[in-house]
Amino acid sequence: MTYAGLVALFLAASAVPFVAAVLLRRPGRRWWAAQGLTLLALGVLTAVFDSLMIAADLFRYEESHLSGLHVWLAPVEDFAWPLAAVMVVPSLTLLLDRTAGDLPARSQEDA
Amino acid sequence: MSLLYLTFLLVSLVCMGTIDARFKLFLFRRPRVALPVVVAGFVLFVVWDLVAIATDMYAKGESRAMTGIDVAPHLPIEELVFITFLTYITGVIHFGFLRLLDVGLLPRAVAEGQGKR
Repeated sequence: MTYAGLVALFLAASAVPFVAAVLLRRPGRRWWAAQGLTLLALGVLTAVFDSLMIAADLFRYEESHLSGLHVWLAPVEDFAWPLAAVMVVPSLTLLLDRTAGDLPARSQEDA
Repeated sequence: MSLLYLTFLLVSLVCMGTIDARFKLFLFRRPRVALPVVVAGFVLFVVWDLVAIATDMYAKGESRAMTGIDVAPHLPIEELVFITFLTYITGVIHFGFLRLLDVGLLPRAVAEGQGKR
């Protein structure tokens, strides 16, 4: 199996809370906007810091298992981590607390 | 043996916590929800690493910036802090963007749909 195959398995698992949150909580457009922006931000951070971490030799991949596509030094497969994090973290929060997709504190703090 | 990478991670974690505490975004807004969520994300990424290590796809590097303390073969203690940081920052950024949308600090095009829930 390639690393991409392994990545696909973990992304499928990560999609479970995401799909559950979307179907059960039906979040509004601002939640989706926050999700898109978060993915974008984490994607940029991954391109920069994953590359730095690889340049520093903090970890290595067995190259023969990789697709060979890179963003700077970061293998494209590594962008599965921010994607999984974005699918899991806000979705689980929304599943555990149905108000987590609502407007944040302003109404309470300003009241 | 070096504390360089671990220090980087811990300082970043504390900075993230400071932002969270200041704006009450994630862990400091709903700790009883956010904490189990961070734990769940932590478990996901540790298992991901362990499987990748077990299948010889991923290995620890030889950087001298690490402490050399491994919690499992090829799993340095720093990786556990990194995973915690990644999970935590995801929550802080998501709820940070929700807040920015709320207070109108993002362009109208992004904030469009406001109130249409």
